[in-house]
Amino acid sequence: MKRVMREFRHDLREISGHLAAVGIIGILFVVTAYFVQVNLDRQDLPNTITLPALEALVPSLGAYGTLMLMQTLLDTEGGELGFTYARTPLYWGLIRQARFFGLYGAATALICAAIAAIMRIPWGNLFLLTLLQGYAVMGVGFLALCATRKVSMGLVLVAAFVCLQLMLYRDLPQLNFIYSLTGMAPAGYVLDVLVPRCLAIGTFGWGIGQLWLRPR
Amino acid sequence: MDIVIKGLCKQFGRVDALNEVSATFAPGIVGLLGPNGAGKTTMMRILATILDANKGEIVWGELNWSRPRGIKGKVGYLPQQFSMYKYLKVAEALRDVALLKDVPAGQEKHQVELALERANLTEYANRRVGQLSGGMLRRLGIAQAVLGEPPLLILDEPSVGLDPAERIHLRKLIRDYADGQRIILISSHIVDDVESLCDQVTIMNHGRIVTSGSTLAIQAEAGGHVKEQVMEEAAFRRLEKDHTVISFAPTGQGYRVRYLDEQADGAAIPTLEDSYTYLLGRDRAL
Repeated sequence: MKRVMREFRHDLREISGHLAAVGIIGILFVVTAYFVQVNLDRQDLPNTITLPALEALVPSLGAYGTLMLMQTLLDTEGGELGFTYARTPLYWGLIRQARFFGLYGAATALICAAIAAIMRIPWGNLFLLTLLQGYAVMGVGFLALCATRKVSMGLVLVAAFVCLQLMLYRDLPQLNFIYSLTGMAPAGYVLDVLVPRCLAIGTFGWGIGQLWLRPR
Repeated sequence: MDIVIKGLCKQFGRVDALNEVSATFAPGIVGLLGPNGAGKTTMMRILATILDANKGEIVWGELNWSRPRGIKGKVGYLPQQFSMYKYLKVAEALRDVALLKDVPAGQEKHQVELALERANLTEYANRRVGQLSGGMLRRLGIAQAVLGEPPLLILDEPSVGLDPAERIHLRKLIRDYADGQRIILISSHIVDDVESLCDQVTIMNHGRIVTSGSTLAIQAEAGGHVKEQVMEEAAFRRLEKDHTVISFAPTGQGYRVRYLDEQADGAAIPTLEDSYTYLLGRDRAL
């Protein structure tokens, strides 16, 4: 257990700058959501902004963390050195990412709890959907990086995956795989449709990405 | 115990990076020489368990590279380009490397201190890796390679970026590390380093081994094919057109030129650089 904690601490230290930036963005988002809600309450208008923004932002930040965690190994000169140490490709990939996903889950829980309190909506479904959207988007990012060996390409592909759905969900709803974007707290029907898709996309990304992780 | 390589092949797309390479590396310091694209780095990356070969076998006693997990704890590797953990301090980075190399917890502190001492980095232990100069970063690379005292050390162009004093220190480090049981594999373009350090030399070209053997035996291969003369500049320019010049140095009367000549009288004692140039030229002609 001590060794696992040391390994996790090593991973977090490696990306500490990026984590700090993500944390600041998360806090700013919650603060902004509070003022948006206050403003809309004053005008007696429904809040259709915050939840779509949450869906777009939080999983994308998770994917950013996923990419940064792999940067030294896959997109740094001499980074393949890690593969010579007494660790398997599974460790460098899914095991480290699973630990990071736990951190992402904890952060998502906090953000969703804050947003739910601000918007006076149930917390549970919101957290579940955001968590699984993160699972999907992070899986896409992981696959993109393992396939291209470039963090820049990973970021571009994650951005393309997210933006295509956000921009086209009205005109081409068939291209929207994982987003609700209703502005309302996710309900049973939405979850019934989106949860399996998130699981399928994420599992595909994580699985194929892991297979492509070994150096070529 | 020797590392025995049989029929090793590796393709990258249509390029044969290694083509039926067979070699034996005995305990000691082994030099890998060859031009760019010869396959040296590919072979080192396969030995370091970073790449899998497409065909062939590598065995080392009971260890077999088809089961790389058993090898990983026994290899120290320094890649050609090295960079790591820019935000950590040098000692922190090495402690993390010790963790990843599964160095027993009780030995970790001692092994990190030993690696720092070997790489002459003790006074930089608390400096951030991102603040190190190129030469110091290379020394950190060597420190992480020797950390845990692996019996197989693979150094790809270890002298790159080192100033002359650091190169001398590196040679001492490598000589001290070779204790008779360990195998140290060095690739270098600096023939001097290989000649002064290595007991065995393997010369590669186009993914194949041109020759392999003791350093003295390889040195002698160019015997009778090397000439050394002092000549004026005009004569030197004419000579360059028809002969392979190995080295030249200005003297008071012109240049002292060392070159390959099939009619050489054998007076010039060949160096490893002479033999390297001669053997590669012969290999190209075949």
